[in-house]
Amino acid sequence: MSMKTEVRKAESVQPTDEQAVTEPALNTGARRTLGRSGATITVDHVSHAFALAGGEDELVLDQVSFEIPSGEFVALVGPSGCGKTTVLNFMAGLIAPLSGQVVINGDVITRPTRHTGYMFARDALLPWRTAIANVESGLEIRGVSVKERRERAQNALDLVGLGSFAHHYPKQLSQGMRQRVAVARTLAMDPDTLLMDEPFAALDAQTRIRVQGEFTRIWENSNKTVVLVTHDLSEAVLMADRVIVLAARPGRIVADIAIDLERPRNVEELRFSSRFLELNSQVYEALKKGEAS
Amino acid sequence: MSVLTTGSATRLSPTEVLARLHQQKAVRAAKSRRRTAGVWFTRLAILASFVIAWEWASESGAINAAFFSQPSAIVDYMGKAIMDGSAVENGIVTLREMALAFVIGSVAGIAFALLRVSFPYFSDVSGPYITVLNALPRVALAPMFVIWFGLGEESKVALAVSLVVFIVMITTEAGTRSIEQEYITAMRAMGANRGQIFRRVLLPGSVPSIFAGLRLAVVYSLLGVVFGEMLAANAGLGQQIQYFGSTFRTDGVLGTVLFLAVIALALNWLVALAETRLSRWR
Repeated sequence: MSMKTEVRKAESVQPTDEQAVTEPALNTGARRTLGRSGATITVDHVSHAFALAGGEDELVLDQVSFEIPSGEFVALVGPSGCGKTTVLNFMAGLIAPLSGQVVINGDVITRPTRHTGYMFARDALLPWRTAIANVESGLEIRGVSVKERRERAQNALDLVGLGSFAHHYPKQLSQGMRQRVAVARTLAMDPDTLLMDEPFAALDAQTRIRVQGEFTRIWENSNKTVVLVTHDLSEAVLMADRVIVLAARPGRIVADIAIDLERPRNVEELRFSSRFLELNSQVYEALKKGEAS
Repeated sequence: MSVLTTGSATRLSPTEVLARLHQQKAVRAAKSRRRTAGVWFTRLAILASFVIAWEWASESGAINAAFFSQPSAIVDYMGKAIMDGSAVENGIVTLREMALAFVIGSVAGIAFALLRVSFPYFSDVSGPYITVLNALPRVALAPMFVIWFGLGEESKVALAVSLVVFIVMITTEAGTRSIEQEYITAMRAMGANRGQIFRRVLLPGSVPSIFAGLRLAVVYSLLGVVFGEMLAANAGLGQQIQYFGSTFRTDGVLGTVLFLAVIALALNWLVALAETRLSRWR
């Protein structure tokens, strides 16, 4: 299949003009009350290649372009090897693309910035720090005063429902709680962009649903731009405003699907709604077609 | 009927099941207490029979007391050495040398390890030198240390430092290199610079391995200074051992060895105490 038809296909599932107008209206409602406003992200013709262990080099991304308006929640899904994490790492400034650029709020990203929060599948909490000290670590790096960072860290812990576990060490917390501490650490820094790489993948099924719901609720009360990389299609559809589907070898966009489920969302109940199931199968079809191409 | 009987056909209510669990726990706790007491009794019995057999064998002439000494003579010597102050005087010399070697060697070892972890170029350049120096039997260099640093305490400190520095360095380095890479990535993603990553991740993360190194450093700093004293010195417990050995005072040799054992145990306990304080998170 040629590039051209793929692009057209991606366009065909774009929101109609009507949806494009109503979508921002949702995003600027009264629910946006928490912290800084989200960043605008432009991924501009990004291509990249990796040297594989076998000595062969492989093109992992081929001219990937998309734009994320301020305050939008975008999920990147695709088979392993489609380069979705690589795109996220470009946005975080952890690695630089061999061609193309990522622009956040008008700045070309060349190294990690303090306006961007990054979350991984594993919580990466420092085991020698208590929960609150872990939440403070990002603020410490920025030189926020002891008093202020204590306060902000405590607020962030309260927000994720772990206020009373502030002085527990990570090993004293369950995996779900640790991941929520990691969420708090990211939120405490009040980034305008949240980059999340399979942040709930390490959780057991029940905890995952709970933390997804909690995160969605917190995000709906903020203005933050979110990019979520996940292999869990239902997670992408339930949480995001828009799902970008990538295909592998080389990584490229095969579909860009607007998720018109209304907000605020009840993630736990939504998974039984017919509209969710429709969108879910739409994403799944796009993924399958991408694999076949 | 035993309370541990299980699988009986009787149906118990939840309260009864919990009561049974409670009983089971009590029985197990009592068993474990009895076992601990038994272990201690056996240990003491072995020690007592060894000491009594030794004493009896020397007393009856079965073994030559001039060669093997005897427990009562060793205790006698230790009492006298403490009373006349010779054990304390020499003990202080040895302890001072050892403390100095322990501190210098550990600080240098930790510093080198962290430098090597932080600067791969330095690590690559220094690698072969460290391998060769560490493979060298340092005690063979003892005469050189005496020539360089004299007969005084300095040469003993130098010998012990040459042992301690490598042990602490290698242990610390191995531990620091095994710190999860994801902690560093997380810090980087939050915008941390090298210095901040060093202070917040590498330094605290290396604490457990540093302590593993320090425990060994206690043993090796004592070994280094005692060996140095035995070679050439005018004071110290090692010099005493050498003196008693050359004059066939077996009670003096073994009594002084016991003094050294007490010092080593006490210092080991101190390091363990500091370790518990600093590693509560584990």
